[in-house]
This record gives sequence, C-alpha cells and structure tokens, in this order.
Amino acid sequence: MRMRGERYFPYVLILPSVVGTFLLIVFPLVYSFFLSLTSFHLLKAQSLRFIGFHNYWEVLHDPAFWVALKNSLLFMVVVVNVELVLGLLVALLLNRASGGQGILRTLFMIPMMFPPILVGLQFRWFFNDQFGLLNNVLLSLGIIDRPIGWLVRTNTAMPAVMFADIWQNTPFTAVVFLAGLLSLPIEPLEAALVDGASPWQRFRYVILPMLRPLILIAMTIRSLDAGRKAFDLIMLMTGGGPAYATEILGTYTFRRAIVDYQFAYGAAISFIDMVLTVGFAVYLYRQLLKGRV
Amino acid sequence: MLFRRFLVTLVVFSLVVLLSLSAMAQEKKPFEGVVLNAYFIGGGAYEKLYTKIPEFEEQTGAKVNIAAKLSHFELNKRVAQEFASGGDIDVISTHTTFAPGQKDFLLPLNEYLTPEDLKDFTPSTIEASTVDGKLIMLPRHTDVRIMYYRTDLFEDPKEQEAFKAKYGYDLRPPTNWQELLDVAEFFTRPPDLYGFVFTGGEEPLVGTFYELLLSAGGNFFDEEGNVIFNQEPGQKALQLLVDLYYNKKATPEGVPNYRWDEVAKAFRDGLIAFYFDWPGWYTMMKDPKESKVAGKFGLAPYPVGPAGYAKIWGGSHGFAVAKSTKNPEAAVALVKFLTSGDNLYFEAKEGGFLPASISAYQRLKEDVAKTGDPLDLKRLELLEQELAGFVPPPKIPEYQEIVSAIWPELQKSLVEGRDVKVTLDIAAEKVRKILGR
Repeated sequence: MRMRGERYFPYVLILPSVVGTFLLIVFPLVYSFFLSLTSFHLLKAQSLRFIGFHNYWEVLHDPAFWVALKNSLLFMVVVVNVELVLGLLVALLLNRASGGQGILRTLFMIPMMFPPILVGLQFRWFFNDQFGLLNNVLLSLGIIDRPIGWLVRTNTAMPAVMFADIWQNTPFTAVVFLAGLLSLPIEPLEAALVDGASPWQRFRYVILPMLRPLILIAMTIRSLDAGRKAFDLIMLMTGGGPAYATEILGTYTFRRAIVDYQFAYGAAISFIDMVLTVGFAVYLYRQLLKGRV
Repeated sequence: MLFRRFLVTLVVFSLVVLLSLSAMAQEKKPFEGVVLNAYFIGGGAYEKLYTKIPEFEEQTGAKVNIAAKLSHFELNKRVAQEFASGGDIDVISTHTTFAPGQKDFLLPLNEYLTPEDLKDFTPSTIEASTVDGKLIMLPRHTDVRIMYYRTDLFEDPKEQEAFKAKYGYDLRPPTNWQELLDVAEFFTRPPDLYGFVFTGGEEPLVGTFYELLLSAGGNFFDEEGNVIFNQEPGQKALQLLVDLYYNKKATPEGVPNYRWDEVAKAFRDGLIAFYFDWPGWYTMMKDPKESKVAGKFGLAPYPVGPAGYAKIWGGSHGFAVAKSTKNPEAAVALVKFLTSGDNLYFEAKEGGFLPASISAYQRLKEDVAKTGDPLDLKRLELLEQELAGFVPPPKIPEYQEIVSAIWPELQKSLVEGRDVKVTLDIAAEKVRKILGR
C-alpha cells in the first residue's frame, strides 16, 4: 500500500513551478485579457469599464492594424527565407573550410551577439541620408548625385530594416545548419560518391533531406522570433514610418498602449497577435512532427 | 543650597525658553515633518533649478523627496503609472502639451493662489496652463520657435545678385510663404547645402503642421469642437510642406525621420540655409566647438502665412500638483517657490531658458544689454514678442492620440506626394472617431 505522503509528494515537487508559471504567465495573460475587454485608458480616471469585445471589433476595423499585420507577415516571410538560404550557404562554406574553422565560426557569430538595439543604431547611421556610410560610398563612386533617404522612402524603408535583421540573424541559422552538417552520417554520402552523383545531386538528394528537421527547427524558431526581435530594430531605424511603411504589430501595439496610454486597445491587439502566433506555431510544429515520420 | 536652587531655576528657565523657541520655530516653519514626493524632468540644464530646493526645505521645514528625474517621455509614463496605481505623488514636472491629458489627476491651483500670486507670469503662459477654466500648472519657462538663418549666405553679394536675377526681388530672410519657398529652393545645392529643414516625424511634424495651419487662418477645431483642419487653410499648410519636401526637394531627404536633434544638427553642420527652431539651441549654435555656423547666423521673425500673420507654436514647461496629494498647501508652496521670479531668473541665466516670469525676463534683458552682444539682445526681444502670442496645442486630453493617428497620414503626402485634401480628409475622419468615442 502506498503511503499518503508518497501520493502527494510529486505534487509538492511541481508546486513551485506551477506557482511560478501562474504568477508570471497565467495571471498576466488573464489580466491583460480582462483589460482588453474594458475601456481602460491610463490617463483617464474611472475608465475601467467593461465593454465586452468592443476593442476587438475596433481593432479589426482599424486600417492601421491591417497594415501592421501585412507588414509583419511580409517581414517574417522575407527575412526568415533569406536567412535560411543564406545560413545554409554559409554553413556549407564553413563546412568545407579546411583550416581555421573555429575562428571563422566565431567571427560569423558576432552579429548574433549584439543586442538588437545596437544593431538598430548601427544601421540607422549606415542608412542615414546625410552622414550614412552607404550614401557616402555611392556618392563618391558617382553612382548617385544626391543622397538617398533609404529609411524615409516607402519602397526602401522596409528592405533596409529587413537587411539589418538578416545581417543580425543569418549567423543563427548558419550555426544550426553547421551543427547539422557536422553530425551527418558519412555513409550515405560515400554511397552517393560511389554511385557517381554530382556535387549538386549529393546536396539535393542526400544532404538536404537529412537536414530537413533542422531546417524546420530553425524556421520555427526564427518565425516566432522575427517580429519580436525586429521591434528594437524598427523603433530605432524608422519608428514604424514613413507613413506606416515599417509598422509591424509590435510597434503598433507599443504606439497604442504605451505612447497613447490606451492599455485596453493595446491589449486587444496583443491578444489577436497572440492567437495568430500560437496558430502559426501549432502549424509549424505539426510540420516538424511530419518530418520525423 | 542657594546656588543649587539657582541652578535648578536656571535649567528650568532655559528649558522653557528652548521649548518656546522651538515652538516659535515650528510656527515659523509651516510644513515641518511634511514629505513631498516629486517627479521631475531631468537632464543637464533642467536640474540647475533643483539646487534651490534646500532653500525651500529650510524655509518651510518640508522635506522634498525627488523620486524620479527623467526625460519627459519617460516621466509621463512613470507619472501615469503613479496616478493610475494611486501612488504617493505630490508634485510633478509637466508641460502645456501634456497637462491637459493629465488633468483628471491634477489639482486646480486657482483655489490656492491669489491673482497677486500670478501677476508676475506672462499672461499667455497662464492662459496656456489653464484648461476648462482651471489653472492646472504653474509655468516655468517657455519655448517658442524662431527663425535661424545663415548670415554668410544671405549677406553674400554674389548670392544676392543671383537671387535677384532669378526671382526678381531682394534676397532676405523670408517674410511670407512664397519667399520661404523661393529662398529654400534657391539655396538647395545637394548634398552640401539645402534651403530648409523641418521636423518630419511624429509629434514634431504635427506641431509644425499646426503652426502653419494657424498661420493660414485655420485651426484643428472650430468653436463648437468640429474638426476643420481639413479645410482650405489646412490644405495650404500641408501643401507648403509637400512643396518643400516632395516637389522642390529643398530639404534633406531624411526629414521624415528628423525630430528636434536632427534638424538642429543639420543646421549646426552648415547644411541648411534657414529654418525654425526652439530658442534653447542658441547657446550651442554660438559655440564654435559644437557648431560650424558659429558667428555666421542670425535670427528673424517668422514669415507670415496666407492669413496675414504668423502664429507660433509653443509650450511652457511647468510644475503641477497631484490631486491625490495629502499636503496640498505644502505642494502648492513648493510649486510657487520653484516658479518664483528669483528662481526662474536664476534658472534662465544658467540654462539659457525663457522664463515665464515677467520680472525675470526683464532682468535677463538688462543683463544681456550690459554684455553688448547685439544678437543676444535681439533674440530676447524677438522672443518676447512671440511669447506674447504663442499658441499651445489644443488643450484636449486626446491630443496625444490625435498626434499618433495623423502623423503617418501627413507623411503619406510628404513621401509619396498624395493629394493633401485626400490626406487631410482621412486624418480628419480619424480624429472625429477618436473624439466621438
């Protein structure tokens, strides 16, 4: 017969983490959901009134929200794909490097170690119209005769921000893929060599299928991370402008909740954002599991 | 024995004297034991004034605890949190732009102050600090913008000749919008020189638009509170900015990303022929270590708009008392102390501000007259005229929300050349929605 103490012991053991999760995740989540159902405005006394799903209705009819959502998706799709392709190329090159692989690997990882806020500042100056490095080079080469405002044109601001993000995060995918390449079994490759497969065939039919789980993992992590990390970059480089051209959900939520003090409205945007993110994560996770079979 | 009795009497007597003295002292120090929590704007020049606080503590017996010294944006967030959570907060730094948004939480000062207390303040600053008939802050110093221009360019005979040949009239700091456009176009020689620069993003953009809107005879709202900034004056105002930036390209292209620091830096770096800016940069511009235009710039009044006058956007920094304070008298006394003529004179002299006190302004002018720099005196005189008629942003709590909603729309016309009427109609609709909620 089991002792009573033994029966409850496991629950006691997990209690601290349950309490921690509750305080740090569940409570804020529930509270912000509650806020999103009110008209709470930080600077309006007695504004904490229950208004049901009115904020959600407002958000869904807010053109700026849809622009931000579209920009977020565009941003994510472009940077994640470019980072995956570039990361794979870098990893393949590093894998071939005969000497100094350790040093090269460390050098390639440096951008990843910068806080996004520094990267944002760096690229704000890089793309600056009057004092920026890019314009300076283009002007002195005679390619342009007048500085270009990279960060203030609606058609170049987003690519500039994407460029900064790709610069920072490609090392991450490269490191993941390099780890994968280094741990691949050698036998299938040898078999392919014996069968006379060309380098491209070896890559396409042997290496790539074996890397598939890693690609999916890198894609999942980067996709979920892309919007959040980009917040710092965008706030510093463009502030979401010009004219919403680089406004993503994160910056728009910040503007409404923190700058305008509309906590309730901001909470509603966050919740819609969260539902979309969780949905997307579940989808990616399913893909990942499929890859295992 | 007798000596002992004498000694006892002496001790008792001195105790009585001491006690009554301290009682008298207590009577003299009205706020003994009161602690005031203050949330102030921090940073270089702003903090000089706070060195006077020990004098207040000495006089009143109150203790001032400066709980935070932050930039205004950070300060506003912090103060909002304290208000919302019912924190211990007595005195805050605020600004005529922000105070209307905080008014639910600010103590109306009229009940604690007499007209006598207010007579040393510039009337326009008191007006700007009054919302719905309630004085919610006491002004400290005021910012109104002024035109800075490059004397080496405007006074160069070759430039003058070339300008006259092209436009048919004499080159001078622009006095109306047509001249503004012409001169800006004339001096634009990228990448080394541009005619003009303005703040093209966020609140600074809306402020610039607002100023032009008023000078074109319009306003955000009419007297009944209807949104009217999309009417003709608004279109003229925005069109001027679109012409400068998009059509004539007479400013650096980065303007939509420029706020205060960037426009001032562009002028200091010698990239700009003339522009409008706050008076506070003046000291830095005169400093050859910081500025390539030191000794090469002058000051001029604003060009008049289509309405025949120039309205100038401005605002006053100031101090306010939280409604939730437990010691309103002591808190009001601190605000009064900080904005006294003497202290504002001290601050203005140290930091180059324009004090909201008439007597302090007068003393400042007398000092400057003695030093003999004509530009210094011209600056104070020009600004004095502007101070008399400056216009603060609309005093409604929703102003910040309105700013957030409309600046991206205004930018759409700037960077893509979208028709100004279309832009303003969209912006006006957004504002109606915000106010209707």
